[in-house]
Amino acid sequence: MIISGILYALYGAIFLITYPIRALPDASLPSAISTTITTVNGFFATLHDVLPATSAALLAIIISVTALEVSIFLYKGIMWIIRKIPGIN
Amino acid sequence: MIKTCLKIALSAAIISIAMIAPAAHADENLAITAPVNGSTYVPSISSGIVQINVPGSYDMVFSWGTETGVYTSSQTMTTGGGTGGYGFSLDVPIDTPGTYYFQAVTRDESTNVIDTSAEISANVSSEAPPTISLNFPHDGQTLPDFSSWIVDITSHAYNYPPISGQFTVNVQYTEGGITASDSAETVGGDGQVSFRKDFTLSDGVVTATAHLYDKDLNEVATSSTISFTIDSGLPPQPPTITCAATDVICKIQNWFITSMGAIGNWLFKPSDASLQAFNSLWPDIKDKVPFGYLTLIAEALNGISDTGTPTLTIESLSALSDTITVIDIGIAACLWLFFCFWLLKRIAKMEL
Repeated sequence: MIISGILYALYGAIFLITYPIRALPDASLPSAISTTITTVNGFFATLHDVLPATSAALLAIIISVTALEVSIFLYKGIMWIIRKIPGIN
Repeated sequence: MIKTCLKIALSAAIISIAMIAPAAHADENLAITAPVNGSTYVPSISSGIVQINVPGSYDMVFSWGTETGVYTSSQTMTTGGGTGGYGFSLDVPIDTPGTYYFQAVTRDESTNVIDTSAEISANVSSEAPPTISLNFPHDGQTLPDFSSWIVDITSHAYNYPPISGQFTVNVQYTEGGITASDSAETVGGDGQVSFRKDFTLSDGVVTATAHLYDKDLNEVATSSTISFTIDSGLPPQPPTITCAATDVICKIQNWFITSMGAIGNWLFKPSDASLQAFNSLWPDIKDKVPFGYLTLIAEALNGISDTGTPTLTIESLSALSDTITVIDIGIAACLWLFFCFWLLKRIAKMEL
């Protein structure tokens, strides 16, 4: 009863905060992105035919670098938002 | 005259049939019911039971040996004339480990064999493995999802080599065609082992079997398979206390626990609907601006692979494969080395 009430209140608060986002349109990427991905895949497939270990290493490194940079970016973004809360430096 | 001859012939025929009939069904007239055929006895066999199905006063011989058909030991008793089971208490118990074969025969006063039982075999062992059984949940129980298994381990009085060592207790359970397994390590000996159940069970029938492994992961005991039903609508079960009829304090304690359990459950157990409501939040916004861009970019990046259609078709390089392999591994190693240097530099200069 008590915990359910708290959960419903929390749900309602999150629902209200995210309501403006819900009202926005769906995001869409330019079709050139998917074309680019296909082209990149073709290059990697060619490289894989000749140098399989190199292509695997290159893919893994690209994914690792991207993941690291995205993580840093998200962390900075979240901390920036937190610092906007009154009373928090 | 003819009638008299016929009567004599008929009587002779009936007597002949009566004499032949028991011999034709010898195994049905006499059977060994203990030891049980194919069983293992620890640490010895000290008795036997022979079932007699034809009334009569016989000398019954209970024989055994270590080879089939060869009975080197025996014990004799005289039956009382009725049917039923006649027990033998062996003068010298059979305590040497091995396989033994048993047979019983009944004889008349002239030591002619009347009936012969079928031969059975039983094993004698000096050691018995532990046994394992699921204590919680128990067979046939209906309960909400729970957090821990309770398994009972019982060792026998006879030495089983690894009983003092380390054991692994494992419960395998199946729900809706999905099989999962939880394990815990324990030090040998009798007692209960409680360990965490990792898999969340949904409503339905679950079957579970407990296994016990020694330190070398040889299975030493398996429980019988139990079946129980998960019903998430049920409140958590308070502990059950069995009270004597006159134990008023115990009954008050039981009532208190039951009542407090029910009140606590009503107050603090969140409903399924309140928990499920959160599941709808992320799907509603994951495609919206700006989160949708992150979702789409992540999906696009996940699509990058080296298994697509090559943009260039290269003729066969099989003649150079040995050289190319060395070059390939060398380039890959250099790339990883450069990545490591870059990573160290990136972390050293990171400003958060």
